[in-house]
Amino acid sequence: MSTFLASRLLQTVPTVFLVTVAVFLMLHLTPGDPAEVFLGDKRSSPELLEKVREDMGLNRPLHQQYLSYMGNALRGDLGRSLQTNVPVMEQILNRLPWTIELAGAALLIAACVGISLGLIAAIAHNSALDTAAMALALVGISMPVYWSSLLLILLFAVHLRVLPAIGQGGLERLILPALALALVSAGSLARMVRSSMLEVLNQDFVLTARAKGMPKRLVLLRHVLRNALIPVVTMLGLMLGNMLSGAVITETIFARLGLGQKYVEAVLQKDFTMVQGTTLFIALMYVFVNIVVDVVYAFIDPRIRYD
Amino acid sequence: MTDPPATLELSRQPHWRRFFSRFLRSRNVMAGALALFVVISLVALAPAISPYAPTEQFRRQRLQPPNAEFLLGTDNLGRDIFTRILYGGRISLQVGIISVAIGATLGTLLGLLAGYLGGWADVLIMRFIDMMLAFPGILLALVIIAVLGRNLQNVMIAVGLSSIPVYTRVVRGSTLALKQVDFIVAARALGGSSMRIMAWHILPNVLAPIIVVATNGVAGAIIAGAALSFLGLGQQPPDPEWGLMLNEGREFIRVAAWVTTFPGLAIMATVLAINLLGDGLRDILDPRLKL
Repeated sequence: MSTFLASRLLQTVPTVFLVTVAVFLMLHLTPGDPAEVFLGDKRSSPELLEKVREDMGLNRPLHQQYLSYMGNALRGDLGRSLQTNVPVMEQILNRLPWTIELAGAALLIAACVGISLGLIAAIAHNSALDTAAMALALVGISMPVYWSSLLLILLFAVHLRVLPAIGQGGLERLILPALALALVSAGSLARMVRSSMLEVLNQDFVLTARAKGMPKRLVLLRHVLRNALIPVVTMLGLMLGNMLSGAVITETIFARLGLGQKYVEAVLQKDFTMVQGTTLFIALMYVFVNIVVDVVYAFIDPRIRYD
Repeated sequence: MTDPPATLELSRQPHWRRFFSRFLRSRNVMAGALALFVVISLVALAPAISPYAPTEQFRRQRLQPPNAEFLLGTDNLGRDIFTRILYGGRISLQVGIISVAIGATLGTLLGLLAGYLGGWADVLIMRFIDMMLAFPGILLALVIIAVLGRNLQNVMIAVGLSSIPVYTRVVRGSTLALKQVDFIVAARALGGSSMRIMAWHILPNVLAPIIVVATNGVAGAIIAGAALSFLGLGQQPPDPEWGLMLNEGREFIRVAAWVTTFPGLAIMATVLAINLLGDGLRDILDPRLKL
């Protein structure tokens, strides 16, 4: 297990390195003078530009700039926002809990709805119920998150008036955005659980269990379900990625002051250091989550041995 | 070696005919294709069908509910929503198709190179792909927009580039498997150059999964493109685009739900049609492909 962990971590090194290089280079890939990017929409005189270049170290060779950027980043210093002059890291940490709350709730809903829908479809294979469940899943996948968000607001906040449309804090303000964010993932999860269940149902050990007189319900519970849900774990990391990027949209619609909303705001305001810092933070977090998922997967699937 | 041997052509004919008859029998494919045909016709014929111009404002008729004069109602500036959906669809479909063309071309090329050449090319390309995959979902497109600037053209580039990894992975996998097959080994033994083998022998044989991924990819690109316009990073007012229309109607959702409902329905219907078609194509062309 420890060898597996070590090799998995080692595999991540080039990815993390390339991610940091790409995020660092963002500034230099932007058309125009990097110093002008830092000045934003402010009027720039040659003296001012030169001063910015000097202050930001833009006159130094690229690799030195990268090393000092990374050196600062490792100490948790991602620079200051060009708009508010607040440290980027501070803003990220302020916003992060709201996004984690949203993504966590959405993940929970997606898992409950997706897995049950997939199970129902697989157990009632080739019946009307199966068709209905899969049609529902297809609709879920085809619903853009901004559209489902607006529909949920329309239904629960405007017509039924049971839940608030915007804001954050408290369960009642979490339900709608989490539901909207969960729909797409629930749809794809349902399809995956169904095909994974059908695969396991065709295995010999299921037939054996039935043949020795085990009741169908017990076979499903003890043998099929446990095996069929293993691949679902690998999807969790991917789903969390979708949640993080979907939060960009749901947070904007539901006016939640989370990391995703901040990100869009930063892109719109051309707040370059904020975009750069947040991008780095989210990407590294995502890479880390995927390592955890892989390790958990190796733990729970006894068929996989990493030596 | 200028033309592929004639026998190959002969054996290919019934192959495609068999597929074609399966397309006709697949309910998913036919339903999806029919719905998509309706959408494309409506959008293509926008100037002929639409009663007004997409930016024409009827100041006295703001936020009118659907009626005989304005089939799907009007928005806050008194513009006909039906007209705007038809014209907006041109942009949304264009974004979907061009992004996929960009992503599929570059992704396939990288996948072929990685799979066929192997060695360092493979390592370099796949590390690069891993790097791209570290930016989940729409985030990569957002980063690219942040770098290139926000407009519709950059939306297509951003959405296209961020879809590269799917194609590269699928094509690389298929190429690796094909490399061991006899006819490729034979082609190499006969001295065919790498470029030639990739273009003439491997590419035609990895087209099936590419078509499946690309079909569903158009749906994803339409959703992503509309999302970026929704966030204010793509199409700019006053021209219509589905995501932009949704965003513009958002403010008025309490008093005039139709302003958001209809563009949303348009996106969903189009995406649903494409996904149906894609699922059907997958079942026929490449049942083992897991998406």
